[in-house]
Amino acid sequence: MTLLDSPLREQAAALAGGDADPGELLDATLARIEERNPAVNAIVATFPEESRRMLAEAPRGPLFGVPVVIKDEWPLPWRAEQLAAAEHVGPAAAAGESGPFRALRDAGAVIVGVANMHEYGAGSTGHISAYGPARNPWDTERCPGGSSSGPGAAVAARLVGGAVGADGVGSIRYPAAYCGLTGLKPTFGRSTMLGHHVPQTTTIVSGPLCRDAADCRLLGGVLFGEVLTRDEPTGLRIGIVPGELWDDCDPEITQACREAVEALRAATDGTLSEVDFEGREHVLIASILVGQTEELADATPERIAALPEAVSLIARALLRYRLLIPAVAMSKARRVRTLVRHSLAQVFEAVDVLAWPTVAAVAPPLDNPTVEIPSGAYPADYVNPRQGGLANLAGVPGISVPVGRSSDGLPIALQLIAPWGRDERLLDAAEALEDATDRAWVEAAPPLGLAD
Amino acid sequence: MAEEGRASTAHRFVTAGLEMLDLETGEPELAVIEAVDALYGPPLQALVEAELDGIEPEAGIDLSHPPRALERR
Repeated sequence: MTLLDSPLREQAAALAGGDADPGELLDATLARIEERNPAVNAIVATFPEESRRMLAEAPRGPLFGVPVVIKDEWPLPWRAEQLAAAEHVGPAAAAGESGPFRALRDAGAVIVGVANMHEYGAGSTGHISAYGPARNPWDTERCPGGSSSGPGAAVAARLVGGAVGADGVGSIRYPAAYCGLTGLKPTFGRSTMLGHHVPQTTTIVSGPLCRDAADCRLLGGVLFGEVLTRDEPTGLRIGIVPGELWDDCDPEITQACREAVEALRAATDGTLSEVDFEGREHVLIASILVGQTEELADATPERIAALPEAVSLIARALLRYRLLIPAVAMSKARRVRTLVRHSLAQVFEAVDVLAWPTVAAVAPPLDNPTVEIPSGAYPADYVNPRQGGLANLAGVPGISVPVGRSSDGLPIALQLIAPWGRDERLLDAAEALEDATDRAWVEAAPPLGLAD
Repeated sequence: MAEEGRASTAHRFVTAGLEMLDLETGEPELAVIEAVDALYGPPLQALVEAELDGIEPEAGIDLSHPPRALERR
């Protein structure tokens, strides 16, 4: 085992303490990417010269010398974001210093690559990308999750210890769930969004994908621009929402998540109670409508018509479909947002966190991204926002924590949701859950015989 | 609306809407659109029909914080 296999914070500590050489770590990371990336297609671009320049100029910050990757949704000074698409729908993107780039640079981190993603950020599976899909290191014929597919695959394959993604309708949490990682969707506005191609977004946030909560705390703090303190959660009041969020999931997932919730309750000497919130039946469609239409101002019929066939058929179809959504639906979605936010505010007077499975079924195959749940077989893209969209619609933070593996050996994950600004509470609860399960799921690594 | 009736209505809506936008659409795109509408159409319809008259969207919404007091007309 090398330092590359260590968590992000241990890499940072070794480099800060002089126990490891950052130049050697950078070289080792690039070599590992060359060795393992072909099997997982997590990283779509490396730039050794720019990485070495970052290292040469790196300040002694909390991530000094630590290699990380960043989703192809963020511009870098030497590379515009491509959104894993053959062509942008809106104006051409430009290279520049995005907020995540600046945050990583100022923390002393070294960006070693750009990570793959689902085309245009418009999917929860990662199975569509102009670069070819990223692959789940747990089973390379399976989806890694999306839209931050590359960040998930890169960290799970131990190419890097941490990655920066973006989450508009669950796009950090789904790859975390599928790849057995921890992914934090911060409170809206708490992490840097400078330079994002949808500056007017009300749903998308930058956030960390790492192996565990402590690493997410470190990388998340860098993106927030503040140190995220740790506390011991005691007397944690956990809210369970009845209905499809739990019941319409693969039984193995429901079972593993129920056991995890009980372990969390016991570890924190807490309580479980049943709670509900208004507007729940409309969260799926409202979160998609809000999250997927905010950038449509750029999607004129002329631009859509001009998209080449290199842009996926699904993207060309969905862009057309979105132009037909009646205005009344958008108006209603905004009212659902109001209803959900007010209802959640009341719920959070009675509980500290809400809990349900991050995704209703484990990672589906890349060549057929549908999932079987009690209510039937559906595209994963249809089911996942039901589980993940609430946090984006309401603005609250959410975290996905690995809590088990299916009989097929695929990761299972629990999602925790906290009130606005209580991101640290989620990290504290996630750490308590990791400890209660002997860190079995965060320490687990996929079988990495990835080279053919 | 019976499923077959809905599909037929959706087809007419989609083709007419795209024609109004002067947006050429091939059969493959149309097939995907109709498959997507078969999934999302019902929850979209339910949203449109939802009784939300008494709830006004938050003025000056701040998604980083809880909402101000609910204003119901």
